Amino acid sequence: MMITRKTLSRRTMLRGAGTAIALPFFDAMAPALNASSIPGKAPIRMAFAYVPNGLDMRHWTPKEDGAFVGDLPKILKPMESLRQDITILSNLTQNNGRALLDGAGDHGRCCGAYLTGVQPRKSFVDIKAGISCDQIVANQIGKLTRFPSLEVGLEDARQAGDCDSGYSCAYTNNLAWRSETQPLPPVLDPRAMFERLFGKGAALNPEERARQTKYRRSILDFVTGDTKKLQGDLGPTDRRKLDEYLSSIREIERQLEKAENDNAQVNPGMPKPYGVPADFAEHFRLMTDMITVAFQADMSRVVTFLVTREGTSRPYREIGIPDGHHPLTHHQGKQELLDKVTRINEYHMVQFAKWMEKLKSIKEGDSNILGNSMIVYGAGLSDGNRHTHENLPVMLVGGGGNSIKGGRRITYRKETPISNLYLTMMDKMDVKTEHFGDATGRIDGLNLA
Amino acid sequence: MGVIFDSDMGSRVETALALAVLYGLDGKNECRVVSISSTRTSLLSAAFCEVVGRFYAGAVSAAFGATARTLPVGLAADGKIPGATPFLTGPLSRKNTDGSSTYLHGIDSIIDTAEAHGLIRNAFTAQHDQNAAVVLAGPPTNLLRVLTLPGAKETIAAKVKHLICSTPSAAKELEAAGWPTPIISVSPSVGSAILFPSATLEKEFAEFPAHPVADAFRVSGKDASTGELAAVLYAVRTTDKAFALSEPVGKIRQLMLEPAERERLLASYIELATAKPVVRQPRIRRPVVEEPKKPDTPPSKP
Repeated sequence: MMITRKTLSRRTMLRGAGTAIALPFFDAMAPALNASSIPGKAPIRMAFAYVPNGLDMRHWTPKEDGAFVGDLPKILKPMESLRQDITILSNLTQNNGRALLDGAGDHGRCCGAYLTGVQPRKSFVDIKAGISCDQIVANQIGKLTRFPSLEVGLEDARQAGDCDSGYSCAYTNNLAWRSETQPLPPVLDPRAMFERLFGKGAALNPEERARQTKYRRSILDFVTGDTKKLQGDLGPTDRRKLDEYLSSIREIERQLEKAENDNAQVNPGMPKPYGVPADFAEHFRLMTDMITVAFQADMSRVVTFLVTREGTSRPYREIGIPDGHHPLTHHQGKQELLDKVTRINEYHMVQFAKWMEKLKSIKEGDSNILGNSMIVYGAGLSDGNRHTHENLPVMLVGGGGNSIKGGRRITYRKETPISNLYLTMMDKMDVKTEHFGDATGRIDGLNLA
Repeated sequence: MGVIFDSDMGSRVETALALAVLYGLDGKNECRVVSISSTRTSLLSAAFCEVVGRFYAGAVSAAFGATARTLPVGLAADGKIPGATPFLTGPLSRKNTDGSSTYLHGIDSIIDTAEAHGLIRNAFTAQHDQNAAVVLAGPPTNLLRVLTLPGAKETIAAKVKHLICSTPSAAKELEAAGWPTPIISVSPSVGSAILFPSATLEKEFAEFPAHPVADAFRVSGKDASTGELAAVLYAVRTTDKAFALSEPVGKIRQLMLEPAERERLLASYIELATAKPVVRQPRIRRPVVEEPKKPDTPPSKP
């Protein structure tokens, strides 16, 4: 038998001046004798999306354990179309977010401890936490992708100063920690994120960028030659996939341009970070679109997404809530304030659901990107009014490479460390770690069987 | 002093009385109950512990959050002493005249309990250095598992002043497993030297319309030995003249009684076990108040 088809390298890129665009999986990348299987298997991605100030748990927790019955609770409603892809995990606890004799500062502690599993040192000068679980994974599998991990956020990347009762802003404004003393600040600016993913050039200051923008073309224009050459090597299915992928990049560019134009109209004289949309939902979509592309092209398999910083007092005027988020969560049981907290929680979930739907819409082998992902959505506090660290809101989305059975709620025993979940996720990422944070073991019940 | 109490609750009425003594000490502000767990693989054992905790609600520590009302109860899911006993079913099945349960609890399934070893480890982390005591009234199943957690031995060494075991065999097992603090083993003669009188059911306990420990005690109706009560009392009142310690053998010392102090000790047991619940405020660290500096020169006269 003669084999004539040439296998395309998984590391193929479209290159042009100052640009390198990674590609999604194509059938042409599979071995010639087995076109249906991606070399090895489709990669599993891991992401953590964090929302601050706890959630209104009354509208988060499904009533019954086991398979979802009836409508999802109010906050989860936006995930209705994805109900079979989500698992609600109850009773998980972050003990190291508690005071443990360190007094006030639950916001700083809960965020600093969230992925590190250790109690952060109470200081805004001499910070210390621990290496976060995403970075343990990134250290082991990061060499397989262009970026070992991506850190994304929407609000505040200050790294210095006192953000909560003596806790450094480094604790409230970061999820990922490369080492005990080195947090990895999230990228907030969509343009910076875009260039990190697709461009090689250093970030320019706003004036230089404005000058360049005047003459800018799409980055796709820079890789036209490579694109045409690649199209000639691909079959019809792969050509369509390539077309969709490049269109999604172009769409991100359009969003960026729109954001930049909007910013110019909204606030021309302010030193606002370049390219950050004024609209929260648009900012959310832009950043998550880029994460999607990064997953699609296997540029990274590990993402942390700090939706807004822990303890934030951001108002949500776009949904008619001029009050700060944090003050609202200290509602003391007042219904009017509680309702506003619920609405903010719902608003976040609407944005998140759109991202998840997008991940699900992108086919990958026999599955889709969401099916090959594990995305945790949650917070470091459960009740933001009382600052409780037990029974945290935790939603696991995605199939983890056809290994997680969704569509249900699993309640673990009280005080079960959330670090047990992270250890389990690390196992599914093929990252073997004996111990992590305050874990007492793995969690069970996630698997399909 | 934070006290971690681990037992096989339900095997002996003595254990229930010891828990009552512990809450009595908590009510007197001599200690805080920071963890309750059972090695008996029975939901009823956990339920009884919670019932007693709720009875003393307000006296229960706020170690797990300033507004926590009761502590979660740790339960060994894979322990070797399954089953219910009359000491558990007696109080838990008690009904009011309207048919409702006298003692309410929230433990209907295993998910209403906590993993004991994780719970105990977490309790250690919330204590000041050398300001915790562990009382073990039963087999060491849970404590042996705590020792297997990474970093636990270091935490115990830092936080725990001493471990008091009600049986010599448990003390030896924990010593062999590397328990890092001094271990006190209650001498077998201590329990039988003083018996907790069943007559208290008609006197001190009779003042309560319903008392879960009294109801457990009523099941046997006999005077109870007090070795576990001694373990609890010594954990908190280490300088009480009623107690004496042997010379150490390895890490273990034997707890013995001073014969002349027996009557006073019995009075203490009764007073503490039958103490009324005391509403306690959550523990809050007091702010450091600096003393005003003395002026270098005397203030000038007006």
